[in-house]
Amino acid sequence: MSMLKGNYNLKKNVKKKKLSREDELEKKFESEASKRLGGSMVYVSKKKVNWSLNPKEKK
Amino acid sequence: MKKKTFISVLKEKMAKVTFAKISKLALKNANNNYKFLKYGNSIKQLHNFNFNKGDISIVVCGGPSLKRNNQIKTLKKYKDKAVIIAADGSLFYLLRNNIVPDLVVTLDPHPTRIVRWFGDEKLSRKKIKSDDYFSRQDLDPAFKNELKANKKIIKLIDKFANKLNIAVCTSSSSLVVKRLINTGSKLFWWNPTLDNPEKKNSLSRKLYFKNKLPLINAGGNVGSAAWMIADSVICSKKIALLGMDFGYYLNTPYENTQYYDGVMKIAKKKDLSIFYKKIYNPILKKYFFTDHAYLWYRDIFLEMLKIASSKTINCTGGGILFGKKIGWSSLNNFCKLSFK
Repeated sequence: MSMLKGNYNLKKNVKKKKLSREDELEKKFESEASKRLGGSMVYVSKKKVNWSLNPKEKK
Repeated sequence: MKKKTFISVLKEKMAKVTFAKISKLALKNANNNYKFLKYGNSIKQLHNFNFNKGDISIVVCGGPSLKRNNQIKTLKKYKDKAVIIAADGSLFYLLRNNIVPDLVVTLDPHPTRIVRWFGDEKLSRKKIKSDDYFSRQDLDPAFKNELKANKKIIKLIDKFANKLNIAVCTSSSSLVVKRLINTGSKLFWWNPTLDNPEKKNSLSRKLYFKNKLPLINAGGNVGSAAWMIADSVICSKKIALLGMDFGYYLNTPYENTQYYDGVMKIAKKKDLSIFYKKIYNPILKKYFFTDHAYLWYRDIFLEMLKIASSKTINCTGGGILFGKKIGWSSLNNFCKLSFK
């Protein structure tokens, strides 16, 4: 969430939410997954085999 | 609402991160392999082809139960009746037990690792030192002495090469493709489905119009791809699964699990347990544990079963692959009932 900056001071101090250990690991996971933690191949839902594709079907 | 576990959160990210990890590399490999397509045929040639056997297939994968439950005697007994489709990781085990599968499936685009399943003629101590993938895991204990195992694989593959049919995905690395061409095995090419080919700017579409090879949904990993080929290319009516665990035995140290090295890049040892999940197998009445990737593979497989044309029986005898659409049996009982 981004914070709006104004030319006035808030009465209360807004503290930046501290990430939990799990949140931190989740963030790191996304960057590392693209190197080592992802699967061997992509999966596309509800597809089996496409023997041929008709060029006219191009959208 | 119940809070999602950490591993479930990771599992949900797998489709996105795998696409990011694989798609570019798969396309790059497919472009490089274009010049090698002449050394094989399209997998279309195997459509409805049962290798002069019946309509029953046994898909053999390299999970830990393959060796632990050693069902090799049964496999030998029925090898001339069932179509045997092997994921690349189980080929060494089959060949050293004198079983030549009817078809071997390979797909992973990793640049250096996968050739090891077929024997890496340039394997050195330096290479082994830089990647402990094979020695670290519980996949095949024969890999503990990697150089010795590699020599054995090369010898076995070269011995049986003229009998081997390989369903090779265009995403495979050039090391794998060159090795396979050099062995003289019969190659049957196919494309991986990378995204919905009906969509504008689809990568799968681009791939298809480059080489005109069928697009096969690989289900995230080579074992699932082997099953998809049994179901929708060979068109078997009944498929038995062997070595498809998608999990680990409880006494497996974390260090021996597939993604341990990746997990250790982002976490400390004290965090390890949240990357794994214990799952109770109600059929075996036994717990196994799994990780984010295997959990994702399991979910995918159960989803693919919903649109399957065949009936699938899990004869693995271990792991976490159970559900409504999948039967369970020992391989012996499966074969006894199927080949009366």
